[in-house]
Amino acid sequence: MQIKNLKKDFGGEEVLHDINLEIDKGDVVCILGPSGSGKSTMLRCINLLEVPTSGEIWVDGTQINAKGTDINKEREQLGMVFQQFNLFPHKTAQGNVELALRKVRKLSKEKASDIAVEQLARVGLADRADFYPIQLSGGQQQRVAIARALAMEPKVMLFDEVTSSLDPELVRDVLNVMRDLAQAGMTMIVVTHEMGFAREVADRVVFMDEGVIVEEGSPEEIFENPQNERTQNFLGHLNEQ
Amino acid sequence: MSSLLGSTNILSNFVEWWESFVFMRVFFSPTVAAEAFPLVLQGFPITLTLGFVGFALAIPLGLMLAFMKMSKFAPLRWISTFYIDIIRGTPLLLQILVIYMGLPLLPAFQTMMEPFSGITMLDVTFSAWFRAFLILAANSAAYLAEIFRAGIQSIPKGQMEAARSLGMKAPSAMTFVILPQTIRRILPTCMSEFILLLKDTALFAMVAMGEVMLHARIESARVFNMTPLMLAAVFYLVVTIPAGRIVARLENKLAEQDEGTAARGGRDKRPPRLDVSSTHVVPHKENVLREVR
Repeated sequence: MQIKNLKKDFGGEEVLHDINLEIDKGDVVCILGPSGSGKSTMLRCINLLEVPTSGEIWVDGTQINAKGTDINKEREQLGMVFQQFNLFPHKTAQGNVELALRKVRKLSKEKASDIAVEQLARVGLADRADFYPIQLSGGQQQRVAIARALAMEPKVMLFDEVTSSLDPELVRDVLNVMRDLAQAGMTMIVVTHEMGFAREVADRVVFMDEGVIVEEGSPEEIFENPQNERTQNFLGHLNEQ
Repeated sequence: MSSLLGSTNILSNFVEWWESFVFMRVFFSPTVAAEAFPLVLQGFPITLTLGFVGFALAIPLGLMLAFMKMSKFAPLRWISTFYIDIIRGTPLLLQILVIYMGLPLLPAFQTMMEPFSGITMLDVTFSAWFRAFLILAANSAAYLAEIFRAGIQSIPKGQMEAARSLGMKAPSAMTFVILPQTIRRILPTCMSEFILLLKDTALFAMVAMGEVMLHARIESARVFNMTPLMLAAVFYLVVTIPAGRIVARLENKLAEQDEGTAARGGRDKRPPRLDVSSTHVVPHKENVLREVR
């Protein structure tokens, strides 16, 4: 997967300047950076929830933002998990996972149900299949959201600050699911504030600030020996806390 | 019924006593009521048909207007806005008179109605039903459109994004994710709109549709007594009061469910913290900023 010269502006103000990033199959890339640095915008550009102003996004040899590409088809390959979960409140956990299988994949009810049960079990929520989102804790909701994305068998999973609106004690469950995914060889792009997770799980860490990639490297390089001043400041600031 | 009254002395004495008061006799005369009842009842099915069918037709039309108003394509938005402004800005009575009386003056409309000329329902011609439904649907749709639009736009943007990110096309996401949630939210308002519509069918008395109001008015004028009109009131109330109760029930139920959300999910859904002293790694200022943007 490749991002080439990605630019995005909102109403004339450029928030992403010329982003270039290459991600190999099976890699876990964590994107760090201070507030408003364009991390989430970049992630949203990757699955075209925001339309890039310019630049190219390639997944598995196809340019997904080229004219004439079926965005819906390409989005199936990119699972997205949101900070606010965005579960469908009128559907049960299982219904949430089944919906796209039925309406996009056009699977039979039985087949969709089988996959849903399997995916919920994978995130440790087999016993919560019939619960509605409001009956679940935030951490459980987020895991349903992950199962929902996984059910579509994406090539890449995008995580947008998925633990940021969770209470600390619920963060662990979600991170454990993500860790398992990483170990299973899923290609993942993770925008996060969880430094511990980034350090432990990431193959590569990317530090962004003010719409540019300031620095990238292995977790060791970034955390132990950051080269750029802005990275040093950011990490230093975290350590003080 | 008069023979029934006559057969019981107590009852006829009571009626006599009751009607000895002018006020009671003018507004609530049992004798007049008994006479007017079958007449007004005759109009009741017409009133109900106008209300239910008119509203049923208004729903798809209103939905279409709502989507037009949210369209990316500006001319569609203009048409929808213009239409809604015109309909909501003029009296229904005026619309009834113009369309109900106006259409039959058009030769094209006459030709269109010719194949149905023999068809009547409840002693009303097909052409009259057609025009009445057209007016009611066209009118109510304008009000419903605004309700639908507000309802759809009240669903958090993340719902559409989540659906799209799963590969769902926009219409499919709208049908299976957004609209089911919208319907729940707007149901009470829609029921209120239905009650309004049902009451507004009374205006068709002006064009002699033969509904409850027309019969009541004619009878009332004939006997110089308000009782037939009070009887008509009862016919409207028989529908509007239960409907109003259902609205209240729905509103309570929805309010309860929303509270349930706050109480149960609230622990995890509280707004992002802002205090820097928090032990959490990074203060979540970003969330707040994003909401502002």
